[in-house]
Amino acid sequence: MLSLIQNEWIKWWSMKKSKIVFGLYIVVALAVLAIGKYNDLFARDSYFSDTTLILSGLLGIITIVFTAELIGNELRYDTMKHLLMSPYTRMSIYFAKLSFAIIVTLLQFFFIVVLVFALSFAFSGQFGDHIMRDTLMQLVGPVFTIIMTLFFSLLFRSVGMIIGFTVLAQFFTSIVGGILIGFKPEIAKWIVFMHLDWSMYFDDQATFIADRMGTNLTFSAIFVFAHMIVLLGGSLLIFQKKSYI
Amino acid sequence: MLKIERVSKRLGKEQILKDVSFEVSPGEVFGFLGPNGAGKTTTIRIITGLLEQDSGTVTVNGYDVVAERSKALTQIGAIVENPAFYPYLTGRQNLVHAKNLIPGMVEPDYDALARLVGLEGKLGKKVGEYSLGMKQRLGIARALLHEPKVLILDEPTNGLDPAGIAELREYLRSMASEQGIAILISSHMLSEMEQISDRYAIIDHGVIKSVESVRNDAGARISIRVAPDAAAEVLEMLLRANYQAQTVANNILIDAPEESCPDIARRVTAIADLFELGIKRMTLEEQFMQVTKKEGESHAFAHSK
Repeated sequence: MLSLIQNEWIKWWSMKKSKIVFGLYIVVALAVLAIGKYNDLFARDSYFSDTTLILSGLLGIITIVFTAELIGNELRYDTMKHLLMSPYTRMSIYFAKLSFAIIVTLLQFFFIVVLVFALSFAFSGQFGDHIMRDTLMQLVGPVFTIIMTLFFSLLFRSVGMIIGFTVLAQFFTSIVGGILIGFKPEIAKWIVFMHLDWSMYFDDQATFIADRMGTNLTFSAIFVFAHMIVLLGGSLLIFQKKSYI
Repeated sequence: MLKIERVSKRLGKEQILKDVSFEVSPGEVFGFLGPNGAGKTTTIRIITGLLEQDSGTVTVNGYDVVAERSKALTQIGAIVENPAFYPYLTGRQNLVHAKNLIPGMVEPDYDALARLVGLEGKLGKKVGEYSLGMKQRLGIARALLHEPKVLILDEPTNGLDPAGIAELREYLRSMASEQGIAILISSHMLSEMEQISDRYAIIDHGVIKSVESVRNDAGARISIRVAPDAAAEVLEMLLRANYQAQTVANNILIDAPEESCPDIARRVTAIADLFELGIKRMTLEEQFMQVTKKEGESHAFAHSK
């Protein structure tokens, strides 16, 4: 399966946009730094947490687009048949794409963390250990997004439709969940997108969400993994049966 | 080498293939002919594992395409429908991608492969900048990358100029004879198939109508040419001798086996000057028309030279 992952790398790294995204992270991080310095907005820890929050949002959108293209482009260029004619099983092909999407997203995530951490030295102040911990606790979100986007990739042929449905499902449901937290938290807790930021169980400022929903880390972890398994199972079932002709 | 036995396939309510059977031996170029929608591509999709048949078996070098999928598909190189590539990758990157799809394959000599298909010095270009003919050549290079035992080419001459078609023909023939590769070529270009194939199958409405040798003598006729003023007398003499003969243009065509040539030559030269004597075999197109005419059907076939 390693050679299949290598193939995904060849395709991704050959596209200009794969390099542009890294440039975009640098530009945004520097812009926030310049604005913060000029207006004296940040201490070191707040620059780090605010900038990683902005860049994580950007990474979320980039992850959806990139993951949608993983299967969407195979249909667009009619190359899916060559993958399926290979001696590898469909399951291997699917897991190679999933693994690669997770690897690339983690690569970008750690690039953002290292970049913003390095730039945070431009500001004075303490850098608490909990800030890095809270950042890492948000990682489950992109992984879930990848699995969900791949699921939609198997339902729709057009990259635009895949992106549209993923964004709609993710952002619309997150907004609804955010509203429900205020007056119907017992319903909000059954929305999976409310469980993708596990820092809410560690960060004092965010624990009110967990308190309102009455959930703990174990509940969130089981709930998210159950959704991941359903999406993975559904994806594999569709991919095994679907005729790409 | 490639064996298709009683393969049937239904898609929705439509019976696409019905009891399709044929074999392609090592070193043989086998033409798979039929009009659009006859079932050629469906058969090829089944052979290459893209579709699963409802019944029947397909074996490649002894491996069943369904039960031993991985082993069977490792033996096949194929272009199905049109050669599809990643346009933003170079020709070489596309070949590396194809190499990575074969488990455990060692790095091939890409440049030698490029020379073989006439793409020398072109592998560094992005495929998006390739002409259709170059893509066809790259598709053939990709199909040959892992030295398959069976090569399947679906309309391989699409987009090639006459010189390219002739080169490809020569190359495929030498590959079949020198390396013993079994080659299945699907096409609706009858004149091309006639020049390249050893045998052929005609499929129509999902049914194999005929499997024949291209150079078979069935329907062959002896053709003679005599002085125009003697033609009527010669024709009469042949009819009297119980030969089935008729005048077509300036020739007399005789429905008789090749062994009758000496007797005919003796009879004709006894009463007239014989300018020419030869065997006129049926073209693939004539054979095809004969097979399909039996069904009272007509088909729009393309002709190419």
